[in-house]
Amino acid sequence: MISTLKAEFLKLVRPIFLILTLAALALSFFMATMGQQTGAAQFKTAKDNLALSLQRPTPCSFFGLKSGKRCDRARAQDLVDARNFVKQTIQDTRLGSASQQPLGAAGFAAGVMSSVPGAFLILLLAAFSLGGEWSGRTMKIMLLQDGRRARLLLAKLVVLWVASVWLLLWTIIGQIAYGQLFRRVFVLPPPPGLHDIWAYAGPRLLHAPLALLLFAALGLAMATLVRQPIGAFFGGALCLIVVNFLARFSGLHDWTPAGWLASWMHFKREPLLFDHLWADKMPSAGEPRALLGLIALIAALVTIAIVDIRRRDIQV
Amino acid sequence: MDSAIECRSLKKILGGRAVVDDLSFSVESGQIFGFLGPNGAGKTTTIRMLLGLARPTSGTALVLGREIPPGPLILSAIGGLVEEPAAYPWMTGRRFLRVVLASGLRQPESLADEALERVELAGAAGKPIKTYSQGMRQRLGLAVALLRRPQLLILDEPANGLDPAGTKAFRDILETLREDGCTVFLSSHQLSEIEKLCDRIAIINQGRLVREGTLEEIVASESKVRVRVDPSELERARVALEHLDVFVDDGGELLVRATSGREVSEALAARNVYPEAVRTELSSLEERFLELTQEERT
Repeated sequence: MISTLKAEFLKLVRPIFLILTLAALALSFFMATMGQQTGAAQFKTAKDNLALSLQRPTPCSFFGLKSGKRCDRARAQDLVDARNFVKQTIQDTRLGSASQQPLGAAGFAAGVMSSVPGAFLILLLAAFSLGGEWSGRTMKIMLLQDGRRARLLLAKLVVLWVASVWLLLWTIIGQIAYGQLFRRVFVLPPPPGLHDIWAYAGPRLLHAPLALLLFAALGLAMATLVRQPIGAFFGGALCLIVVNFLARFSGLHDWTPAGWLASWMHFKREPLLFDHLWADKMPSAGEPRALLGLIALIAALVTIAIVDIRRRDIQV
Repeated sequence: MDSAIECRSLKKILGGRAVVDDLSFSVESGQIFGFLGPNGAGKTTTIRMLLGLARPTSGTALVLGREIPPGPLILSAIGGLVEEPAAYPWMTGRRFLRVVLASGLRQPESLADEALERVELAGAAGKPIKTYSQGMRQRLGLAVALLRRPQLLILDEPANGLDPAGTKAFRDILETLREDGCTVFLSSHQLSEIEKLCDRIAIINQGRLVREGTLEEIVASESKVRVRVDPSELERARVALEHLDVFVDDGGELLVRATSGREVSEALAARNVYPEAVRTELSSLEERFLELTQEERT
C-alpha cells in the first residue's frame, strides 16, 4: 500500500494542483473581502448615523412634526435607534472582526473549504487525478502493475484527502495573511475574546477533515462511475446542488447530507460574513446524528466506487 | 516445455456480440508467439482478458501457470503494452517510469534508467513526455513493458509509430529477450516483423482461431502451383485440374491451389497432358493471412 500511495503522491505533483491551490486562495480571499467590505461599510454607516444624531439633532420636519415634546420624544427615540444600530452592527460584525485574527481566520478558511467552494475544488482534483486516468488511458498501466483495483482506489482516496487537507492548510495560511491586510483596510469593531473566537473556529477546524473526506469520497465515486474528468466534475457538482436544494425544505433538511454537514460544521447564517456557501438552516439533528450520517455516506460512496471498478472492464 | 499462456475456450461477449469466441491456444515458454487478426478480430480483447483488464464471459486462461485475472505477483513477472502507450504528459520519462515502478511490488528505482537505456530513451529521460514524438512515446511504452525484467511480455501493436531504425532496434530487443528465456506474446499488423521474429503464429478472425502453427506450417498448408503448358493444351489442362482451384493468369499460365506440385503433375498426367514447367510458389504470410481472414468473412 505504501508504494501505491507513493506513486499516487508522485502523480499529484502537477500544474493543476498548483492552479487549484491558487484557486482556493483566491476564492477564500474573494469571500472574505465581500464579508469584510459589507461589514466595514455597515459599521461606518452605523457610527456615522450615531455621530450625526449626537452632533446635530434631527430637524422636526424630518419626523413630520412641529417643535415640541412630540418632536423631542421622536429625537430621543432616533438616538436610541442609532445606538441600537451600532450595537447590532457590532454584534453582526463580531465574526468578521474575529476573522481578522489568526484563529478566526483559520476557522473562516475551514468554513470555505468545507462548503461548496472547497467541494468544487476537491471534485476538480478528483476529476483530474482519477477521471483523468481514464481519459489519459493510464488506468490500464496502473492496473497492470498490481491489479488490485480496490487498493488503487483506496490509495487515490487517501491522496485526495491529503491533497484536500493541503488545500485547507494553504487557505488557512492565506486567510491569516489576508487578516493582517484586512485589519488595515477594513475598520471593524474590536474582536471578541479568544474564548469566543475559539467557539467559532474550533469546531470548524476540528470537523473540517471529515467534510473534506466526504468531498474526496464523492469525487472518487463520480470519477469511477463516469470515467472521464468533465462528467465526473459536473456529476459531483450536480449532487452537491441537489442536496443543498433539498435541504431548503424544512421536512427534508435533517435527513439530507447537506443538513448533516451543516450540523457537523456548525454552519449558521451570519448577516455580514460569507464564511461558507452551504444550506445553513441549522438542523435539529445534533452532531452525533450528523457524524453517523456523514460516515455512512462516505462508506457508501467508497463502496459504490469499489464495486464499480471491480465489476466493470477497463476499456481504455 | 511449460506453457506461459494457455487459453481454454475463452469467450467474451460485448454488446450482445461474441468478440472472442471459444478461443483456445497455448504459448510455450521461451517462444515469440505472433497473434494476428484483422481489425476487430478480438486480439486486444483477448490481451485485456489475459492481463486482467477485462473478465471473460466464459472459459478461462492460465498465465504463467495461474488462472486469470493475474494477481500482483504474476503481474510483476509480466510486461504489458495494450493498444497505444499512455503516459502522464507533465512528467519526465524517468519520473513516469518511477511512478509505474512504485505502483507495483517493490523494485529498485534503478530499473527505470535501465529500461530507458534499453529502448534508447536515456538521452530524453529528463524531458517532459509532452515533448516526445510518437515514436518516442511508443518506445516509452516498451520501456514500461520491459521495466520489471519480465518473464512474459504481452505486446499489442508495439511497433506502431516506430521508424525503420526503431523497428530494427525493437526486433533486436525481442530477440535478446528470447535468448534470455523470456516469452513474448506479440500482436501486430506488421506481418514482415511477425515473419522475422515469431516461432509460432495464431491467426484469429471474428473472435475465433482460424489457424495456428509455425510460419512454415501456416504458409505451406496450401501452396500455389504455377503450370506452363503448350497453348494448344491449355483448355485440356484446365479441365484436368478442374477438381482443384484453378485459373489462367494474364501470361497464359495456370495457377492452381494445391498442396504440392506432384499432386498437379499427377492430375495432368492422368489426362495425358504434359506440362512444360511446374513450379510450386509458397504463399507469403500476408497472402495466407488475407486468404484465411477473407475465407472466414465470406
